[in-house]
Amino acid sequence: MNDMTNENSVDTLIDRYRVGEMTSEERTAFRELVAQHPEQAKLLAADRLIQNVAGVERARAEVLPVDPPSAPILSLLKRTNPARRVRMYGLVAGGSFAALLCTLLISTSQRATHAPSPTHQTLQIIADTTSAPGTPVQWDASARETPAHLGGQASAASSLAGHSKSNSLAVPSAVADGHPPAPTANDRDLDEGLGKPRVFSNDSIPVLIHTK
Amino acid sequence: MNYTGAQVTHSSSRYSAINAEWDVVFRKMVAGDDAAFESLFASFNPKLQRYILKQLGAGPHVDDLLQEVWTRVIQLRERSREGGQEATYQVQAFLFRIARNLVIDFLRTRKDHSSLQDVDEALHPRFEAGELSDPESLVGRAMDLLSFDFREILVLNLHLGYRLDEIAVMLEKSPDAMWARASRARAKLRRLVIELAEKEGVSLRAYLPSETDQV
Repeated sequence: MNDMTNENSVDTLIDRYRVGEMTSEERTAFRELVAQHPEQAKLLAADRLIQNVAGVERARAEVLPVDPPSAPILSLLKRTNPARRVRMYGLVAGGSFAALLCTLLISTSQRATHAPSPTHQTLQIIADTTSAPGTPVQWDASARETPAHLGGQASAASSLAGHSKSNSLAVPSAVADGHPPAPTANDRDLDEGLGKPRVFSNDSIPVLIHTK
Repeated sequence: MNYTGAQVTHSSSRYSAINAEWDVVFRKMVAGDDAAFESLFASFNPKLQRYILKQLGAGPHVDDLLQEVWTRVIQLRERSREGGQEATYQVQAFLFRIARNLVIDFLRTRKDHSSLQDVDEALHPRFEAGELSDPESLVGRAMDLLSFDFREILVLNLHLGYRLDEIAVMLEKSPDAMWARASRARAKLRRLVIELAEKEGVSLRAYLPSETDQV
């Protein structure tokens, strides 16, 4: 207790004093010692001021409301959320093919941050257009190839048969009726940055629509 | 705040448990769970913001860097989807390491400051006689005078409340090294506070221990 010339000793004493590890006799002796050593007293006072300021700041921060994420963060979050990225891009007109092909477009993070990306991924969603609205559509979450065209019913059927059905989506009534779904506000928001016109197939062959 | 070696490792098992919980949340976020992101954001954004603010000072760069931290976090979703191996994150340390790297990059590239010698004397910052310094601003200004490493460890420890073992993980150093750095930083800060207080005529007597102290 008598050696207060070393900064580490001061640290230890100050810590013990602050956290209440000293007995009341030790605290009294400590106060007297501090009073007899003005330089050490200054160090102690400065330390307590520092602790007080930090404590006040921590307490203040705890009651402050958390700022919401910025718009770019929310936008990026939206773009990278698989569940929100289900998009209906094309459908088969007429009744000769009982298949509906959609693409699930997953933009890259580069696109989301407005830098062009050379690649993007698609997932195939294949549905039977004879299904009633609301019927779950199976899709293959493992299919990540991006062919320019898929050739007709056989291809669609083999795709449907050949992959595990790892997810589902209800058929929108507009799709079952043979019309592309109208874009929603959320769709338009998601389309920001993609920047390319979407072309819907109007013949009997399902086409994967690319945005690049 | 305890700087003894035994106390540095105190409650590290609790720390591991909390970190494991955050790891689960983080992996959910990477898998696409937006609610998990909100949870992470609410818990860590204020602290990351204060860390960047304390290290760089106020300005639009604080929000820019903060946004970049989260952007990089969210981009992990893409890497995960592109077939990256499932990683184990020490989330707290991971987030602060991203912030720290961004802060260091910012300091390296910042060109908006000039030497006082290059600035007209009339434009030099001055302390006006008669201006009273409140103790809080005294500590703030003393913090600004510390080196990057000293300020960082005190910000993380004193202002954000992280223990030295947690900081050791964040900075990828040993707890002993963090203990030594914190001790030196704290001593330096004390001396700076005293110097500023004497220069500006601020009394620290109110902070001396007294008989009425509630310990």
